[in-house]
Amino acid sequence: MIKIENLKFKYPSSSQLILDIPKFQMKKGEKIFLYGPSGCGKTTFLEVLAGINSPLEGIVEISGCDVTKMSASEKDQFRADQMGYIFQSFNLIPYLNVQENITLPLYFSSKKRTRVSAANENKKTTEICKLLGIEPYLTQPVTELSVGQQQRVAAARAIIGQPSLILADEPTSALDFNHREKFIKLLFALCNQHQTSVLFVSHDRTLEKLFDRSLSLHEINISSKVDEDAL
Amino acid sequence: MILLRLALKSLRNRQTSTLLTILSIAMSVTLLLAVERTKRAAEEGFTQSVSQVDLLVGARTGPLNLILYTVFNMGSASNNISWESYQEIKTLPEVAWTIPYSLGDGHKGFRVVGTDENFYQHYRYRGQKNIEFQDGGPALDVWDVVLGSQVFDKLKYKIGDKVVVAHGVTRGEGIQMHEDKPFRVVGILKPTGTALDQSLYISLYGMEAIHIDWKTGAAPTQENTIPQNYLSKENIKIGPITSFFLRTKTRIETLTLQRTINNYESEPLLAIIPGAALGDLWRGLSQIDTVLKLISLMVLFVGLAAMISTILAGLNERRREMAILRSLGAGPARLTALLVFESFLLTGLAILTGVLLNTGMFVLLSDWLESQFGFYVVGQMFSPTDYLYYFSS
Repeated sequence: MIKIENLKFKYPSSSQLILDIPKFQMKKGEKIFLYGPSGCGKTTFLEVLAGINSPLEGIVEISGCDVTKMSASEKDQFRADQMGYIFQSFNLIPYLNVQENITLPLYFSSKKRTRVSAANENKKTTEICKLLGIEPYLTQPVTELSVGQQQRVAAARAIIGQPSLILADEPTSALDFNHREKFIKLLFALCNQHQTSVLFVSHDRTLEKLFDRSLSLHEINISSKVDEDAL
Repeated sequence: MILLRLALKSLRNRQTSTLLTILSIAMSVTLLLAVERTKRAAEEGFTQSVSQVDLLVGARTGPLNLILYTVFNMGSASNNISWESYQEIKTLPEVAWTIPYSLGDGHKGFRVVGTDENFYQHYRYRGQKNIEFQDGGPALDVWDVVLGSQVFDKLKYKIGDKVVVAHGVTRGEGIQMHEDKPFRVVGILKPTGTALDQSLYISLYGMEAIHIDWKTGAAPTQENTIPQNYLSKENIKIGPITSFFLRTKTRIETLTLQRTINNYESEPLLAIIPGAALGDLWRGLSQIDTVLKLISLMVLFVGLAAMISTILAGLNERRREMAILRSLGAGPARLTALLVFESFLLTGLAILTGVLLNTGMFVLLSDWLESQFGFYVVGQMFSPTDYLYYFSS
């Protein structure tokens, strides 16, 4: 699913490498928990995978395509077609209702659209929302939902159209423990329907036992090791 | 489709700022249109003071002088046209009708025009508009007088009131009055927004009657005075007039006729084409035109700057929203399309609002503008400058 070799990344304004990952692999359908302290480059790593940040060198292969060789617009299209991204701050569009927020990716990716046709859109949305327990709120403005409900709307938006990979950036940080666990389980139930892989990053390791594999960013990223030694 | 929906919902979500943006653009559109229209109205009000007339004939003088004293009551006539010459020209086969003007007297700062029924029947201004009465009818009898609308507004005379004409003064207070021969108000004209509003109108007979015993050029002595009740249409012989408007039967003859009159042998006369002379005069005042154009341009500039700044400010506000859409797969092209579409929608709405505001305003206020300022909302609805504005937006 994901194959990374010799990935090096630094921000243009800084002289230090933030990411230096010799090797990282992820199988199809695998659910990986990636942890590390705040500021160690977790979000940067996800952004490199999503093609939002471009690495200095290295290979980032997702579903057999090297993201680093794509043009900016190809990356945009690839991300829209293949991935679902769940943000820490949910990033819902405030003036759209629950259903409109969830179905938005279908309008920007023709691949996702072929998987969920316009005729099927309502049925599919209702199905996902039923599973996530937000079905009663479909026509409500997202701003009127609780944090936990908004979280689930963001998850539904990421999962619709069957992406092959879901990148989740600390999506549970606003929830209490019980809700976190429940949320992860619901998310996995949805992902298992279509063998979707999940890369979940967090600084909080209480959830790691739910995942297939759990690893620290330090284990794969040499640059942060160097950093730590220096400290 | 999704872009349309997003744009509409997003705009509705930002109702207040959307409305303010629309309003501010609409205001500058309104202002621009208003300036443009005022400009056109000023020009037309001036150059269209008299229309559908082919020639204006007076004693030989400068063309500007002739038009100024005949139409605008500025300056004074250098000489008269004899009644015989007038009759001769009037009966030429190519002449359709004439409107005689006999000037020289006034009433409380307004001039008194001696004319005949042709004035009420044939005088046209601003294209097709003819003279209408708000009260009463034309002054055809010897002692009848009709008031222009501004005269009526200022002096508040009613039908039947007596009016005494001052001798030899067309502006300001008179010294010698035709006190022995008062006129009676028989009609009041509707406002026209031209110099017509600032005159009183009597018949040529009336003009002759008040001067019948002034043959020496001075007021008559007691024993020379002819009492008013002795005078009637039958025993008044009309003398010279000041100038007259002329309409040919087929307008092709205008230039030939103009040459004929200018070469008239019995007395020196001048015939001019009023439309051309008025146009020349307006161009002579071209500074007014330039100033108005400059104001138009400045308004255009300020309007565009305001529009661009409000749209840019809106963009900044929406950076986050754009980032979210981007992360969901909306490429830069689609985001640009969304923003461009939004801007078009905003400016479109704003221009529409502006045009409606402008039109509504002029429709609502036109009566008031007419009566207060003699300002007439005329001319085409839109000028090339307007289109330029739409285009640049």
